[in-house]
Amino acid sequence: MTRRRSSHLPSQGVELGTAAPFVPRLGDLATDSARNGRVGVVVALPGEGSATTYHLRPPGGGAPWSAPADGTTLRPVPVRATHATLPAGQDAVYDPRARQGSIPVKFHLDDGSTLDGVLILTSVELQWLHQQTSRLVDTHERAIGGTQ
Amino acid sequence: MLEEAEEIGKRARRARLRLGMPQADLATALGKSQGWVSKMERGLIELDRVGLLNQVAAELHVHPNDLIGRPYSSSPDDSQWQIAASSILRELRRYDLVPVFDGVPRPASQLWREVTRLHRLRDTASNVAILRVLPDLFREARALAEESDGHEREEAYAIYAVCCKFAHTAAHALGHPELVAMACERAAWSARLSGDPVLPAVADWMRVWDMWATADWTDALTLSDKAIASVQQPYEQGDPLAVRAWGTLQLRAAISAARANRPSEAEDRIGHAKDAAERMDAYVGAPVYDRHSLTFSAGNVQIHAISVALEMGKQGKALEINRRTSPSLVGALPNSRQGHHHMDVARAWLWDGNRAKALTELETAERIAPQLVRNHPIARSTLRSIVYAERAATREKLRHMSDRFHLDG
Repeated sequence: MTRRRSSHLPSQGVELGTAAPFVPRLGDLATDSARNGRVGVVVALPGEGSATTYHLRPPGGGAPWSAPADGTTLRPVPVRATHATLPAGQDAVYDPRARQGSIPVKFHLDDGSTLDGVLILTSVELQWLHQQTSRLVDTHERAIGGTQ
Repeated sequence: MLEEAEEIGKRARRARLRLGMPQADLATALGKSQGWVSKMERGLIELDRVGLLNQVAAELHVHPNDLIGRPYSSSPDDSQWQIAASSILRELRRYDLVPVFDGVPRPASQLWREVTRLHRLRDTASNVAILRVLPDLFREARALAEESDGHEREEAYAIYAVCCKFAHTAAHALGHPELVAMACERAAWSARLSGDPVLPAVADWMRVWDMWATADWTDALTLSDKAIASVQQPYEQGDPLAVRAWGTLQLRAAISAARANRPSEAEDRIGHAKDAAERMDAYVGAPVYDRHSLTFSAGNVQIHAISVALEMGKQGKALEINRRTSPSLVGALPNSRQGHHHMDVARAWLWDGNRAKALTELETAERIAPQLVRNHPIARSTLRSIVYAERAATREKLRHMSDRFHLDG
């Protein structure tokens, strides 16, 4: 593959909670401490066109405002998980030494990205989950039967 | 500003003469009188409907942008987006060559996060910023498609296709026909490779928009129906992404039908879209990420119903629908859609003879989505009409007052 430098920055540690400096990019969500923590979408960067400061607009639109070019008042807005699903074709595993089970899960974040993870279950939790899923399966079968 | 209408008229006249077409022939083709064509060429009649503008352009075998002089000339700063547009065009042209990318592309699950940045910029109607983000993302998505296989490769093509959609929308808003055409073609190509059953219909939805530029209303309806049929099954099964695409396609078909002067079909399509919006509202289940970035909601259906009424010249009905529409429904829409809506309502008030309300709506549209509105031919046409009418009214008032004062002796 031919190589060319990309202006993409590496992950800025938002989801990891690390203290990597926040360098806002176009389209990033940021809170502005100079505006009582107001959240905005970065729509212009200092040095691009005539902009000498960061320009932000409320998500979905609204009156824009500026933030200093050094970005000291801006902080990233952490992404949130909206739900988790079971990835296809990955079996749950039981660890006899730890006496716990693990089920692969996929976390869906509100920015459209996903993260792989595992759901760890102790023996008590396994029993509880078994009861719960059995109940749900029964309800599901009744629901299907009811519609036929 | 007023000279802009004259310029449009002159361009239409030049295009007509280039074809050796008499005014009467153009009038017949448009279903208008020769006097109408004459007035239009002198800038005395505004081409204040997209359908009409595109029909005139199609009869003269030019692109609508060639008639309205788009992109509009502005300061060098305001034209910087053309650099980003050229960069995107370069990427789209070399779509089947070895990608140029430094380093290892991130996985698709992370690249979707970058697409979310584009969603946010689209919702704030920041088209220039969208064009600036896209070149790197195109390169990385294409590189990922080259280096990966299986589902990951399909996802890379899906990201590429959605990037094409963002480029297409921004290029339409800013007036860049070459980028519009190429983004549309590449969207179809990458959608086919994406393994996403809904994405090809989204690419068709983009192509319907482009058919409007040549006033091919019947083709636009046929293509809409083809795309609707391709997602019919998942729509009936309640797949949220298919419901969104199905409803959005019905809205596009409704506008096409209105422009084709098929009012009952336009109404039916709006009704179908309402059904889809209700289906979407009734959905219960895990939240679904809007990966195709199709803005579809009950509010969106309402503002399309207003557009359809206007396209058919029924400003009274448009205003009536607007009165019945809850402001919160419109307020929940992204700024780009709200900007379009207020432009439409401004036009409705203007045609209804209320210039003050028309101006207020136009100001609202500009405040909400300045880049979109200042570059929109219909917004400019509406403003020209208001300015012209206000000047004429002021002139008239001054003439009467001068008479009363016997200023001329």
